[in-house]
Amino acid sequence: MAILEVKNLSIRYMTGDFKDIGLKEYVIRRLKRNYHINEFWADKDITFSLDKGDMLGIIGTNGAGKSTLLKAIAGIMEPTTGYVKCKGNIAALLELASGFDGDLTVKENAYLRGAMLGYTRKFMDETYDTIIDFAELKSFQDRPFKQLSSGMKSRLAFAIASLVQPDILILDEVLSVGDGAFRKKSEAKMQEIIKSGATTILVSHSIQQVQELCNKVLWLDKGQQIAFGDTAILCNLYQQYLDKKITLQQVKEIWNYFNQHYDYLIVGAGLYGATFAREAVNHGKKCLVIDKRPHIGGKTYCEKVEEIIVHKYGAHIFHTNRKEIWEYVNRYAKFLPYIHCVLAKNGEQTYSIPFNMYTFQQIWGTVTLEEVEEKLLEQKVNISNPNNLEEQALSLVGKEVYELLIKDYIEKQWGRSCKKLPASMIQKIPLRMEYDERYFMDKYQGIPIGGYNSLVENLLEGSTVVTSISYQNVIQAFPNIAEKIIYTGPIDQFFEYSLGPLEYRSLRFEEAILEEADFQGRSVIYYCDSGTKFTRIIEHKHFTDMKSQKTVITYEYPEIWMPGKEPYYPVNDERNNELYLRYLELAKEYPNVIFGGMLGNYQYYNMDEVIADALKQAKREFEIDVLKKK
Amino acid sequence: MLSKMRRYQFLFEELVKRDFKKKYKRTVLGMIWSVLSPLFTLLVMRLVFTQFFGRNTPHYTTYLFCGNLIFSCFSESSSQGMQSLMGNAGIFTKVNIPKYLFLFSKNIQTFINFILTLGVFFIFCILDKITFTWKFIFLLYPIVCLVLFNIGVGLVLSAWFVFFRDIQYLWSIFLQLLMYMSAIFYTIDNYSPMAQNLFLLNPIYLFARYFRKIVIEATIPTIWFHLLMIGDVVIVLTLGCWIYKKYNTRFLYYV
Repeated sequence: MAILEVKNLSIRYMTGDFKDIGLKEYVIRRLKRNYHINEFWADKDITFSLDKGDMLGIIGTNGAGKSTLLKAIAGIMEPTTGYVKCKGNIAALLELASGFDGDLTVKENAYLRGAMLGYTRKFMDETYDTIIDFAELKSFQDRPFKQLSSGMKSRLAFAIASLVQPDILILDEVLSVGDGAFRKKSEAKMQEIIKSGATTILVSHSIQQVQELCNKVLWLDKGQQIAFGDTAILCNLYQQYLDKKITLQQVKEIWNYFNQHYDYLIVGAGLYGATFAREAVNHGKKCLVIDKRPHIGGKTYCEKVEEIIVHKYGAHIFHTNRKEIWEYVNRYAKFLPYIHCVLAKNGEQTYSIPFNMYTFQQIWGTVTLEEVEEKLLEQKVNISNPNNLEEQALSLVGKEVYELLIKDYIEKQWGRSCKKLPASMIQKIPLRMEYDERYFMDKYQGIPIGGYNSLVENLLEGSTVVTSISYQNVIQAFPNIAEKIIYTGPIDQFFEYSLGPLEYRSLRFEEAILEEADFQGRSVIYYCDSGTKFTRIIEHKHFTDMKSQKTVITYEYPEIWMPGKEPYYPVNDERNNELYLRYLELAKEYPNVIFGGMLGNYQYYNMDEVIADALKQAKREFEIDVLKKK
Repeated sequence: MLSKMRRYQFLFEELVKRDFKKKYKRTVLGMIWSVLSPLFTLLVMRLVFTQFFGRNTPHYTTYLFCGNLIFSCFSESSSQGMQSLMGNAGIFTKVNIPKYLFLFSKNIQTFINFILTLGVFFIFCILDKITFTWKFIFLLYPIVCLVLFNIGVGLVLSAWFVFFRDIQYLWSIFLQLLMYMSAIFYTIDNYSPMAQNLFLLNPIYLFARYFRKIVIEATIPTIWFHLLMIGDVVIVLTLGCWIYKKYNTRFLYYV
């Protein structure tokens, strides 16, 4: 049952009327035939309701109509149209520091204020000491009020006001008083009042404060109600609006999106989510796709820098052996054929990788297959039961190749000595006994023209997409927004790390724009020496042969992952795999949530695998659906 | 109404206290000024006008004092009451409390001044060899009427003052005129009967005349006189309450 109901409330100010401008001006304007009354709607069509114990935060830039609205609720102003219905008594603390009398003493002012708030004399006599102690103004109590600093004034105001025990409490910029220590104290006091069951309305310019205290938010702008609802999501949107990332119009649109019902809520606008969304839309389903990133595409996201398409999350080359997947992606984007060839660099020397006849020629000068095999036999160290990665590598390719191209690279990548890494990490090192330096052997390889964004955009067409918003925000505000949820984020995050976090590997990218046409002549070069801290340099213009006077390169640094950092690759060791299985057990209790994608499944996928997986899931989903309908 | 009064009793007391403290802050004589200032006016008038009007008027000092007592009370109450709403804008735009409390508080103050001056008035009566009769009880009637009248005028003025600040200048001119038109230091006996009737339209004159009748002439005015007075009071009070009711939630647009 709503304790406070505001319906279609509008408040109009008249400006320029006779009472406003005065008699003289009135006559002059009449004579000049320049007299007209302007109306100004401070609030227009505000509708919301609060239940007992709710804490509402009103946000909005200056002139949004917040204070006027509070005055209407407090009964100081009368709504021009609409109504305010409330059950219970209201205490309104508006602009606390004003309304005191500078000539009276602190004590007298305290009593006067107490009287204004509707306390009795008896109550004031009893609580005066508490008030003055709370405000820390004991030694000032007989001094004239005007001698206090503004912080002290607000402190006194708050100390008196916080004793109210109303059903509805209205606070206008009340909490931003005093220094840090007092602020803490006042917030604690506020919490106490809120917990006592009062319904509270708070106006604050501190989003952080609203986030901490309020469970609902009303967003006003120039008298218009932009949104009313859950705090976290609205504060997120408000912050984005303040940062000028989205316009008010977009906020309204987004809010409207969230207030609809969907068949699928797809978390993550990466390839998995986008592919699933495509299939769902094709099957006539209504999808809402959200992403916490400010863009779509997940890690395939590209950005144009200096006319060059830059892969923002590292090199992405589409390659597959499956014809149907290749045809599928070609339906939604035009691909340029691209055969990925990389180089490894140690010192000044470059080598062809993956290891093939060219590589061996570059290292040993060998030409024929026999020569290579002979050399390898000579190099390989005979270790029957390798205990670590180093021993494993030595037994597979021998000392020279290991030290030149494997040791430092792996150690940079993992931040650990190869002697301490498990042998299982490289079960085998593929050695191509032919002159083939293609990185991928797949039948179909390519990169979409203009980057992956257009592919993802086309996949997402027909779905509603909202970026820069977290799943937690959305689901908290709209728990029933969709029938089913496709979750492509980290599975451990979904369960709020209740069983502990899974481990990932992370990467850090440093981008540089160079004033030269070509930097390294290849799209990707691996740096295998310990002298460089990065593991790879990507030169983006080589992906689809882009013409530009400049070139953009990206240094790729391996990084240790911790919660909050972007997870790149799952670390599928025994511990993590076991933990993942335990999370999967938990997932069984959420039959309406489907986990997918690299992070949802805690498994490394190539792009084609992601798409294949999403298509498989979609097929399963919609076939079941079809059966259900029968 | 009664519950409302109880609810705001504490606030009202605090407001009265505040007004008192503010008024006499940093003064040496404090409240004595409230008595001294009408006395000085009285003194000046007595010195100046006795030559012109005093000769034919019996108990001229008392006559003067009656007029002054009423007029200064009205003048003080109305000019201060006018400011009561604006002066408390900081409060009533923030807290939802009955706005007439500010005016009442101001009027309490002027009423106390009035009572003090009244005490002095009686002392002067003794000095002027006035005989005190049981009819003095009837003085309560004009006093109550005056208080209510002051409140009514205060309501109207304080509301108007929010809308037109010019009122304060107009009012001070009006008070000047009123003082001359209320037969404070002269008698109206020399005017034609028609003109004498016109004086009856002036409530201040009525109050003063009632006082003089009781104190100097020891006669009780007619029932019509009483009705005339109460009629004036009802008119201003009604007007004042109507304005306050009408603009109750709209004052704050103009402060």
